[in-house]
Amino acid sequence: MNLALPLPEYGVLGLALVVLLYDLVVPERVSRRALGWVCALGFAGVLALLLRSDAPQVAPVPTAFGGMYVADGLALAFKTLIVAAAMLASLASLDYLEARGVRWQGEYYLLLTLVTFALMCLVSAGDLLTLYVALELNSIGFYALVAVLKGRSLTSSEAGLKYLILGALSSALLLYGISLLYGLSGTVSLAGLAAWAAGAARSPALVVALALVAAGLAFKMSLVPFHMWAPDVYQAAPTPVTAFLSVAGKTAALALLVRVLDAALGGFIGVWDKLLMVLMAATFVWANLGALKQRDAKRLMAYSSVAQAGYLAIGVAAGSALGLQAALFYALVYVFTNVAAFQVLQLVAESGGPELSGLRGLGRRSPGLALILAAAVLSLAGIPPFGGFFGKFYLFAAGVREGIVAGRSWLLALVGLAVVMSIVSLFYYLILVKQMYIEPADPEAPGTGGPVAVPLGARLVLGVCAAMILWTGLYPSPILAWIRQALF
Amino acid sequence: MAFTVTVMGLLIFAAAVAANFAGMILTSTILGPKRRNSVKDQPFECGSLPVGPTHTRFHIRFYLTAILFLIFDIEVVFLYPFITILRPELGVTGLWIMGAFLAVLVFGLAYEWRRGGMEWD
Amino acid sequence: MGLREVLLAVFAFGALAFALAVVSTRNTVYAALEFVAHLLCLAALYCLLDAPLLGVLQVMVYAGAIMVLFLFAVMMLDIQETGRESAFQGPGQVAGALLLAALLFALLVFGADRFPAAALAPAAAPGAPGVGADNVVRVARALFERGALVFEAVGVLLLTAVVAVMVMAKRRLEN
Repeated sequence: MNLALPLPEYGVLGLALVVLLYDLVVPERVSRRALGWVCALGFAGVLALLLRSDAPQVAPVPTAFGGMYVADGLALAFKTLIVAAAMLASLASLDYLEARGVRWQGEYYLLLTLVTFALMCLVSAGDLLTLYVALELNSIGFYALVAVLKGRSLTSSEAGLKYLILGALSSALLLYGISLLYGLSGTVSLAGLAAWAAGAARSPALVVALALVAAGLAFKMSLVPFHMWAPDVYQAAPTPVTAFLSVAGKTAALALLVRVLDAALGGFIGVWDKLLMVLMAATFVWANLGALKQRDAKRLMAYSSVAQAGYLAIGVAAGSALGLQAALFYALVYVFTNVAAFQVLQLVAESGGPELSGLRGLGRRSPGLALILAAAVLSLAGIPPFGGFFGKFYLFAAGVREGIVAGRSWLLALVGLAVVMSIVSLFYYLILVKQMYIEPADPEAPGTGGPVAVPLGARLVLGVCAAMILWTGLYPSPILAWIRQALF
Repeated sequence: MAFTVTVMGLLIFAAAVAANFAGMILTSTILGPKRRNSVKDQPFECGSLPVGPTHTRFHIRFYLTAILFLIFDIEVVFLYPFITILRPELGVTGLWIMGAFLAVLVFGLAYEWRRGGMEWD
Repeated sequence: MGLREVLLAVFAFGALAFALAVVSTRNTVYAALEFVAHLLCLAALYCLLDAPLLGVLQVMVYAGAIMVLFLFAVMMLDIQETGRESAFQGPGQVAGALLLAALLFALLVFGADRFPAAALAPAAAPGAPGVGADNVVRVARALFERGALVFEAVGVLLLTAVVAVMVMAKRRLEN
């Protein structure tokens, strides 16, 4: 048993221990702000470790704990994204929590590290049991993180409760599906399932099992109609948590879809791709049309994230190596773009409030922030020269290629729908831009006078994200090479 | 065969238990004096009313008690199968596995204690 | 149909009936006791399915310890003050719940009815490692040899749950 293999996980767990001990030893009256820096530095260290390690390039992938932990390139790449998102989220949280006087800062950072640990285990799961326990672990952490503003904001508690109830329901669905799969195949190991799926007969019980598993995973990924928690939770949660949940939670869910549907149950692609494509079509239409009428900036971004989850799933539905690479590239772009957008909205909301109208006049007050938000939303809409353009281009190309090569005309139709709805999405992304640059600022409105204050943590977040948005858009080949190497 | 024998044993035991209970209740019903009044007809349960709506709101602090209890309940449940294979099969590795698990739980306990989770406020 | 199948059916329907009773009863203590009965039926199912350890733990942990907690909470509640209101508001919700339940039931019957007996994984062959050993030992092997990672993850899960519940349930005094 190779116990040294999960070194990054040990690192994050050690970080959690440091945070816990700090919180226990330091007297209560001392601010926990320093923990934000401790977390950011710790995550940066783990990130360096992940970036330095090479993805295995030969067939037997290193595993530990009897195959329950898999250290393949897919896990490595997704872990890198998750840890990067965790680092950015800790930096974004520093001043946010201080400004609100949140009493649970020690717990906040502890839960943040534990959730990151869970997400890392999740993408390394070689077994449905590891997968399920890690999924529960990250869900429980997120329920509390969403509700951490309780006592200051009623909606935060409400969102936490809604998330808890719907999350429990989705876990039950997933568990039911897993138990049916186990009954049919006699194994919970993903490698074992793949061997079984290659030769097993299709049966109605299998369809039920796949439907239940797909529903459970679609909830985590927030595909329509399993997205109903997302707008409320994203709107009411603390903004750094929203950013982290929307990027890290979603990329981990994407990794799960790839692992469970593409890798383990790839033999049944003819069964589950119909289920998945119905969900995706509903996602494209519902999320993009729903976003058009939102007045709250975070709620609009919530609908946008639901739509983005649909685009990411194209790579899974294609089921090809190219689709997987495209999905991973888009996930990378999405992490930095979405964090940047939420960070700007968080800073603006401190003075201008959560409504879209709070953005008015931002182009004159803080041209830098306005520029970053504009770049982020245009990247999400898929406008060159930003990373989102290449991401969407690769995804759509992978879908079209697979549709033509494998003769899957439904996939072609789905990509067509995605392109159309992507154009629709341009409307609501441009609403944000219009608010910043064209709408006249209301001189009477509070906090619309001077430039928006940008503390050091937020400066770092915005710097990293802006650099990545431009890098992925202007010179993506090193990143693509890294992805190809990871997914050999 | 073995299954049927086991189940038969259980069924006979269950029947004996049921008969014992029924016998006790029946005996006291037959032999005991019966003087009914309104106070005696009221249900009594440690001084609180046992009848009432079930769809009420429970205070969340019960949850705290429950989770504290659950942690150590589960720990004991894990310890039992652990002991059965510790010496013959697991050896020192097993001690490390269980030690890490218990250490995590002890951190949880220390945290809850320090933060006043044991106080009923 | 052998004795085992008959007993399985009896306890399965018992578990369902008691579960239904728990959510429909108006009396708190009765609901708690029906819940105990439901959990006992589940324990019987586990025993019948050759998982006696799970069955015994179900009785000890759920029907015993956790139900004591439930009853404790019930006793602490001041149940006189709240009004008798139904869990459902209006016929629309009832109809929706029934529709969803019927849909799920139809799905499961459709699936289970054609659950191919041949598609079920065969039980491990006699003589394979672990087969024939004591049930507790088999559980222990699955838990501590193959599943060590999951076991440790459960430890972290419990720690997370403690922290999460503290955040949700405790009121921290302003200083």
